Amino acid sequence: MMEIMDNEQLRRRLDRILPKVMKPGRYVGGEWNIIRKDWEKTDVRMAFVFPDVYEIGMSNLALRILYGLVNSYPNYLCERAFAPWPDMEEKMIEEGIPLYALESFHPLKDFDVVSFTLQYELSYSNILNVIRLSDIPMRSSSRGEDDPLIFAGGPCAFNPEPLAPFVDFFLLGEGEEQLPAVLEIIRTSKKKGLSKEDVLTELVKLQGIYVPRFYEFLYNTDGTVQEVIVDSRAPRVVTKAVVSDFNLAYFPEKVIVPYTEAVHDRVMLEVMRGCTRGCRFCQAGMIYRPLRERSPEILLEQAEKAVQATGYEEISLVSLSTGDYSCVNRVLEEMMEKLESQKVSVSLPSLRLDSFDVKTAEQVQKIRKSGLTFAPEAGTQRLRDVINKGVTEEDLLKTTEATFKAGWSNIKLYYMIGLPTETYEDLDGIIEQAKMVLETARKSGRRNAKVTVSASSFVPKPYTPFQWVSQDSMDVLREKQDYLKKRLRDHRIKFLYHDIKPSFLEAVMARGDRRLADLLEWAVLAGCKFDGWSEHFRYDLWQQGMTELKIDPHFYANRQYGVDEILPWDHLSPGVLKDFLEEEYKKALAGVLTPDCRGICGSCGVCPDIGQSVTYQL
Amino acid sequence: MTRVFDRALRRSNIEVAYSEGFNPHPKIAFGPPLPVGVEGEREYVDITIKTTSESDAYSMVDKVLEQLQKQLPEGIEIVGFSILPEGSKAIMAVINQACYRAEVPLLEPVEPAAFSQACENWLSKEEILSERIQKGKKVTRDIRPFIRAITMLPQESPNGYWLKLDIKTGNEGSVRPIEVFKSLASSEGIKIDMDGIYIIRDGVYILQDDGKQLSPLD
Repeated sequence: MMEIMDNEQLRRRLDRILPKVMKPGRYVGGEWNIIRKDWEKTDVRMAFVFPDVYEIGMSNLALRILYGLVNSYPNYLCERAFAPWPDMEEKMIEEGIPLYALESFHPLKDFDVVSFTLQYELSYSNILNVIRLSDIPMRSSSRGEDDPLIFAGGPCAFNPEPLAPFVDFFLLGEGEEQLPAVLEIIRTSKKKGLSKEDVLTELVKLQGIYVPRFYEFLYNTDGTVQEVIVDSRAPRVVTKAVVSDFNLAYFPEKVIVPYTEAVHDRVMLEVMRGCTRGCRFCQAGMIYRPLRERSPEILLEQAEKAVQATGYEEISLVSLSTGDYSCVNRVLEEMMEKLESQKVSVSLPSLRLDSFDVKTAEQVQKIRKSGLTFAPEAGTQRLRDVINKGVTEEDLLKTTEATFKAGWSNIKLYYMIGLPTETYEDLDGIIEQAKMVLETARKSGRRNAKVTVSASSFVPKPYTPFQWVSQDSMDVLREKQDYLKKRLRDHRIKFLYHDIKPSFLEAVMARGDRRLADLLEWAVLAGCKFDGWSEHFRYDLWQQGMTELKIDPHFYANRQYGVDEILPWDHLSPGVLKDFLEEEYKKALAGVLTPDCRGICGSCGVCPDIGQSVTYQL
Repeated sequence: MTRVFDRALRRSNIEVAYSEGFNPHPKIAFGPPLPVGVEGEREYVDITIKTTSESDAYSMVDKVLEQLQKQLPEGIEIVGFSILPEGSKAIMAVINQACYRAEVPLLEPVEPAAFSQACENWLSKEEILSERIQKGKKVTRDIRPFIRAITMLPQESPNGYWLKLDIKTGNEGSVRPIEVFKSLASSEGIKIDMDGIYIIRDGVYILQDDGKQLSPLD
């Protein structure tokens, strides 16, 4: 038990340890546009925790949006916290400093609500570790009325079961309207002096609020889910919240400008939400439906205001597939023209092979001649059809030829290995493609061209047509990596691949159920943290925990889930129907494409009930 | 720091001159960087801005800096300026002295006379070897040539003393105050609370051959 410390004492103790840690700028706040509100005069105090290191967290769009949004209400305040790097953690424990928020240096324990964003499964250990470092009991059942309410949202909230015993409630879907409603309920409940249980009873009435303690799981002898018993206060299925009008949705222009460089240290403008392509492995493409574009006029206005407020020298137009934004060229041109005198450049983070336009790329200053990344995802047309990546070899060759001719000499090709139905022929396809791209380079007069082939391991994700599919065993994935490694030995080709064990743990957590909570807790107490960072990933500890707790990870990662099985996430819904996913799965196995839903509606179940698609015409 | 100023200037709508070339960068140049954990009282930066009229350069710059001040993060205060003639040498090229004052708390009390003697003893050495980690490797070097003076200040400190340090800077390198105190502690046997040291850089200067110390604004 740490002693009770106020924010000023904490600040003084902090000054003693900061010179001894790496990148102390991560821990001091004080950045431009930081919002510091009067602690005493605010009704609801919320801490937003990004469960990774500062530079990663400060690049997150959800943090930027929700921080600005909550602070725009006079009754609420929102402060930030991040996972301290292990060197800082050690020093904080030595000095008895609990985890604190960067605005006021109040310990997280002093907040009314502590929230986490769930961006990737490998950050789960950090979430528990942050709670532990805040001197807050990890399990909801061990927390008292004086401890903060803990909630979480973000993409992984569509299957948060491994975190169920630690988090009081989850927010499914978009927070722009839902979060203020949540905070309002907390504000009035606090005034009335309601118990946590009563607050949760109120909260569960809101759209997209999942309170795990209201759901009880029964299991069959084979380990699959038998039944979910739902408390009468809670909905049988929680469906995500969607903002009513994406154009009018809150968007922050005065974002915080960090001193230590963030990974994405620039203005980010969200040009659209959702994606219509329907790639069958892609969770984001399913859970962020429907597609909603933001109007060019609003984007141009936001660009100017954001540059004025931040002084940033770069704007990035972000979305799941910015090349698909119907007014991308117009917005790019006008934005660059408007901001040229201020030496502000505009960049696009992701481009598809079929919507890629060399002219667009040339306009975009920031995509230097050094390298461009394309994602064919799979090596053969057959497998690309299986995953519904509607990109052809012709697209790849045409685009790479154009890029080489335009002056680029380095191209990165991104693939996944272990996709459903994959054979060694598909791997040969990757090798052939890499060589074809080099041949194209030679023909285009770029003899010194280099191709980077990056292969990550496929992880089946909930709410995708591949949610039932088994991940390749670690041995099979390793063989596939070795196969490529041997055949991509060429001084013009650089082969990048990922460690398999983290992908395996990711698959376990992604399709996991509540019984994994014990393992998570065990692992964190054993010292697991920053699992997404190879230098800190301790698979040996995870393995030891699985053995001790008799948890079979292969049950989650390497098992073909039955289509009739109750899935651990069936009670949560992004609006996409299970029937649609099953249909897509069947079409995948048959190699049948589903067209972009902007042309023909695929009847996924989202439009028009959950939300309506919005696009702009040129 | 360059980024902080570049962004503040953009927020203030001040047009900064940019270098030519494929990847232009703003013409903002700082003096010797402040060591980590040290407060700076008089630091300097050269900024090249675009001007429209030359009629009254001084009042124009004064106005520009007033705008800039509003956009600078807390803790950065513009205290003065001068207008450099074209073709002036970069600030980094002219600075050769940095002066610090530091509050040095002691873990075990030492009499003022004994403390002063310890400083003198330490300074009278011809060679003072100090180890530091550079690019992950331990490097031992002689720091004595960088130290021009170390003196006790009359200012009172509850658990220790205030010291003044005059240090040589420039392209032959320099020494960080914390290294000086570490060396002083180990070679003279004084128990310094290293984590509690508070260091301020008074300023950086141009020490002329005649011994005159000029500020970059002079």
